[in-house]
Amino acid sequence: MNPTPETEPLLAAARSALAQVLDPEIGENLVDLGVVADVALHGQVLRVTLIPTSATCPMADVMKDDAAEAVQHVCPPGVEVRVDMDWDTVWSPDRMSPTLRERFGW
Amino acid sequence: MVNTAFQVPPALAPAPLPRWALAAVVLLALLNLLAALGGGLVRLGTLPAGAVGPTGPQAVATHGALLMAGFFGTLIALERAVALHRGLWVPALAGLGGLTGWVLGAWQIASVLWVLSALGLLGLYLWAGWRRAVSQSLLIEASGAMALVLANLAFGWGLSVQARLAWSAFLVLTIAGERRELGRLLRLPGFAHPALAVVLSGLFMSVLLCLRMPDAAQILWWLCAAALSVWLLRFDLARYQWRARGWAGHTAICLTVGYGWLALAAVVGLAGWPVAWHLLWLGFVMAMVFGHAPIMLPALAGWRPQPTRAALWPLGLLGLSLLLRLGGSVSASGLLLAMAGATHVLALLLFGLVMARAVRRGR
Repeated sequence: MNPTPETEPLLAAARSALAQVLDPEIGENLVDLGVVADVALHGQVLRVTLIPTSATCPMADVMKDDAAEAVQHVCPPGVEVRVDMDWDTVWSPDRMSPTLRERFGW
Repeated sequence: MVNTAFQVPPALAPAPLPRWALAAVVLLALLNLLAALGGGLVRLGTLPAGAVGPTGPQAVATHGALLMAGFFGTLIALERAVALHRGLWVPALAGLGGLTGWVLGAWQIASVLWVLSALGLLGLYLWAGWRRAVSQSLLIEASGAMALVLANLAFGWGLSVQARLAWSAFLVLTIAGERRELGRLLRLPGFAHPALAVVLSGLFMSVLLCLRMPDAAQILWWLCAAALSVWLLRFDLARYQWRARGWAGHTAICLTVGYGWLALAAVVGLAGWPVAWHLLWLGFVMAMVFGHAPIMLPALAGWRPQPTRAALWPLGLLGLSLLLRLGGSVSASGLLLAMAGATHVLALLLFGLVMARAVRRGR
């Protein structure tokens, strides 16, 4: 769903919050790692979609919880946060931020 | 501000596994670890043999099986079950297998339970490939599960040399698969990934070769282990992350130290000294455990330990204990070996204490 002038501040705040959440094993934030596929507001539900880097990573739920907690803090009362994993989309290094790509030799 | 034209679909994924059930399986794993440690300490002369319990004859005779199939079989399968939200019976069977053997002495039943659990682990990887994504790292981890199946079969048939190598392959391939996954973040030279595939294939081939030619298989195993250590030291993500925030820096340091132990184990193994196996298990594998435990606690128990560099002290103590072990083994000194055993356990206890303190200070 395309952001509107009304929703953009909240979505930007949500993205900023996600940039404070670290992948527990890599120690880099979710936005720079490129695992944040989408942040969208549907009614009173702010939905965050993450792309996993591993099919069998036991820390995926921890990342979801951390992301939900961080985003909930920037949401006004009444907005529910839902974080989902998109198992159909394959993560690739192209998704990383330019800074991180440079650090990792890309 | 809000748009009501879109209905958010209900979550399709199954709920995470209940914490009480995870705690029960972790308890099974820890009981296997207790028995394995007790048996190991008696073997080293650190503790006197007991009539029953962790220092009893069952634990002493099957120390390795309890650690590999019992403890690590449970732990690694538990991680996969947590990740996939299914299959908790897989680690539960591995843990119960160890208890069946250790407490009841019913080792044939234990080996059947372990084989079923290993097949279950393989099934979990197949499910992950079917419903999530197939990747080279998943195939590597699945090959580790296949090695576990072979190891547990070999144990049931009384083939201890073959079981030892196959259990080791289970651990090394599982770790290598996880590192290969994270290796996607890095831009590596074109030959790096094919080279890793060749090395890991060699490790798996040594498991098969061991069925007919155990001596040649062990040479192949240690050659490939040496190559793997070089690959990990040169190409793994860990070297970029020593100063990373949170626990990631701790994990990276533990991993790098573990790679060093893998290299030393390979050199010692090629020299023909049996102590190489314990350098591999306690140096390389246990460094992985120390490195990953703080980041696994939130997934398994919901605890958020506060990051602390003090968590590296047990790694140093474990290293000291391994040097004692190496010295004791080479010089055939019973005193040094007994001291090594005590220091192994001290390192584990210290790690437990540091983690408990970090959990208390965390969230």
